[in-house]
Amino acid sequence: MSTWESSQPLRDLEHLGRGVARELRARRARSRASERWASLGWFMLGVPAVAIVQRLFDRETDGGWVLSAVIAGVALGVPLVATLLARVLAGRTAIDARDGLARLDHELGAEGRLQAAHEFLGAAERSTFMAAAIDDALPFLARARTHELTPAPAQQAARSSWLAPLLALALCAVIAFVPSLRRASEAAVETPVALATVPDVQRSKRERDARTGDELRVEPPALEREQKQREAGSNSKSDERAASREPEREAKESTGKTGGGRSAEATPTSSTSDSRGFQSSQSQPSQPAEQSKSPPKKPKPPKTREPDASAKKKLDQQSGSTAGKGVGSGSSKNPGSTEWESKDQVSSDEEEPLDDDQDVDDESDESEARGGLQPSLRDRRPAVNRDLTIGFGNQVNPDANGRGGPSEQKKSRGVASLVLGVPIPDHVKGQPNPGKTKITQERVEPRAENAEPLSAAPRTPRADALGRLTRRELSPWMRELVRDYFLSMAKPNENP
Amino acid sequence: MSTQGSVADAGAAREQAQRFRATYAKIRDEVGRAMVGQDEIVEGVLSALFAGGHVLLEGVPGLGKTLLVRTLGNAVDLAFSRVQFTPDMMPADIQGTMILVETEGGGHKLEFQEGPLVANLVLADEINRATPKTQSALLEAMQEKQISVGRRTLPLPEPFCVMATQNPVEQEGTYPLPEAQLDRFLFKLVVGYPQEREYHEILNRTTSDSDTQVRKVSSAAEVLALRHVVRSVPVPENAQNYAVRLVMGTQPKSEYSTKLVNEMVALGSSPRGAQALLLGGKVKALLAGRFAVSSEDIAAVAPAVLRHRVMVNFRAHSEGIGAEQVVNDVLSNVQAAR
Repeated sequence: MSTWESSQPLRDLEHLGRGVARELRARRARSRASERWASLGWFMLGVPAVAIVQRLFDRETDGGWVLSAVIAGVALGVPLVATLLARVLAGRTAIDARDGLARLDHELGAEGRLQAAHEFLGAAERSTFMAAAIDDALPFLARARTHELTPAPAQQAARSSWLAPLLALALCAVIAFVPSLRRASEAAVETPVALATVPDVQRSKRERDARTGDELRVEPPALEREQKQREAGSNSKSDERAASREPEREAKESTGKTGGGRSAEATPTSSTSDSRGFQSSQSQPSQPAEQSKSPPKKPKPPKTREPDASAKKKLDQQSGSTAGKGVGSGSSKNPGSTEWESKDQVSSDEEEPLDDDQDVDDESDESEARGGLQPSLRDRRPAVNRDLTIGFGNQVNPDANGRGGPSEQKKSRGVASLVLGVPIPDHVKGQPNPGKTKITQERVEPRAENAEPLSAAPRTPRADALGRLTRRELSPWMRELVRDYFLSMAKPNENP
Repeated sequence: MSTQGSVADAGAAREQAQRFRATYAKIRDEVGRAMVGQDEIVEGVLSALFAGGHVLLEGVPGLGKTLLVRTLGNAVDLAFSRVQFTPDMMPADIQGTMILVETEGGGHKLEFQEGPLVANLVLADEINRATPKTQSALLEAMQEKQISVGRRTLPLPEPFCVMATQNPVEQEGTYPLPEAQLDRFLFKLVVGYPQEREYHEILNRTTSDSDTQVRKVSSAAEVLALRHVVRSVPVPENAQNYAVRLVMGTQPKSEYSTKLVNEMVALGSSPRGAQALLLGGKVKALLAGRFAVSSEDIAAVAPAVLRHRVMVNFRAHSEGIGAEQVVNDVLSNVQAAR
């Protein structure tokens, strides 16, 4: 019989495991306590340090040794209680006997033999390998009985953790000596100078009080100043607002005057009327008289920013649109013109809002002027460039304006893409660049084709053979083989 | 409590373990006649052979990966076949296909012609050069030890072991193995450069006139028997717990995952990884002369088992962190019971 066939090895392993687990639990409790104790070092040193600072500045309290003892009690008592609490809590957490055996395995270099033996000894059925494993663990069990656990490194480190409480005690002792030290230093410098410092101190205190009072008294004027500033600011703002309202009022007044009379001095307020006046001088002499019947125009807001630029722009528009005819103002309701302006001209927020009434009047004036027989020539702007050619080498056509042709995104109605011979770049959505250019029509030079004139002949029946068949007929055995193959494939679940 | 063990039981196990170690040593020595150095790789390949798993050998060209597997096939007297994977290879090229044969009576019939996969030891050379279609043809063979062609299912001969090689360089024109394929390899062994003294031995052997002949020192039947021995090794609870924790430690957001794993890993190991840890640990325990798996055995095989089962994410790639570092991090943070 083997040595492990009794229950002794199992009991020994459990006893060993429990013992090591107890030791590990105690070690863990000590380790936790020492960690907590070390972590509260700042508290032990901080409390007496604060007390020393406080006593250096507080000349009235004189507790002596009693105060030092109280501070020492607080500085060391609180960490002590916290440490004990941590130790008790850590000690309550149980460690399994198997963990104890694992520790023994590790220290003895048994590579899990003791744990395996403990588990296999408790098993109801054992294989041959389990039996061999138990047998294999017996020498290590004998060694484990006499083995002492190696001390944890935390215990050695804990010795240095007593430095903080010692320093704290020393600081507490210093607290008791602070008043006497202070008195000694004061006595050493107790001279007329020292006495004179008292009134100075009092004087400086009075001055400080007085300064404080002045500062307090100064505050109302400061507030008043701020209030005044605020009022002044509001006044200036109101003045500005009033000043800004005045031109409006003036403008209203002038509008009234302009609407009332048709004088030559009043016409420069509106560039359109100016241009119309010029046109009327050429072809329609009765125009100014008709204009005088028009109702007074709405007042326009005064231009305060860049009047020269807007005037220049006005002039440009007039020069671009008149082309000798003198039609200056366009209707904002014309979609074509609006598009044109928005795309090919730089628009700005400073433009005057278009006056619909005025446009309507202009249209009616024009139609009346031409008897409605001629199309409106207001939109005599440069025609949109419809050059649809594309540059070579995938270069962007500088004339592309988004209305057909090789632009990145087509905004036309698809007309260009329907025209044959127009190169259209394949624009793939999501691709950074347009794709290859597809040309829908090639330039084909016409070629003369010479054909022999056919001589008419009567059609006769075919006399020669059919020719060679491309598909050869299978031989019978081949046909049978193929048929067998497909029949075998059709049979379900047939294994070789 | 009275125990039921006996000396006879322990003696039988000792004898089996001794036979295992002896066979193992014989094969290793025979392989060592042709293969210089690379002891860890040889041990890994033999462990996989006895554990019933497949091996993925990764290394730059010229390190003897193919030589190792070919020598092993000769030493163990296994039906050995070598497949050089190429991009134009089809599944039928390795599994087999129906061909037309002539019968005795002059007729013809279709017969199934076995491919190179029908062997005991298959060397899949440069496996990552084949298309995923062909790579996937190995999935069934490696896991279920059978191949299906049409409606036919053909069981593969036991022991069946696939030893695949791949190059870590020249990745252009290759198809990285899918995760399902990688998971079927028990070990991934990284073949490194030989030592200086091994260079001299390699040069002396390969540039002289002598031709090293490898003898057959074992057989397929013996390998099969020793596989049963390996599977008989018991696993204590603490070792099994450790294997499970290691596998869970590679899975992001799991109970045992580390910070590195949570941040750098896209896909952790599957339960197959835990199976591989235990099988590899059993071989390790037998080789160490023990009769039960310990946590040390699990930790020893963990890098080879887990390195190809951990998929790192893009951030890890960008920061130069590989699966090897992740596995080392898991090993250093997940502790066995102590």
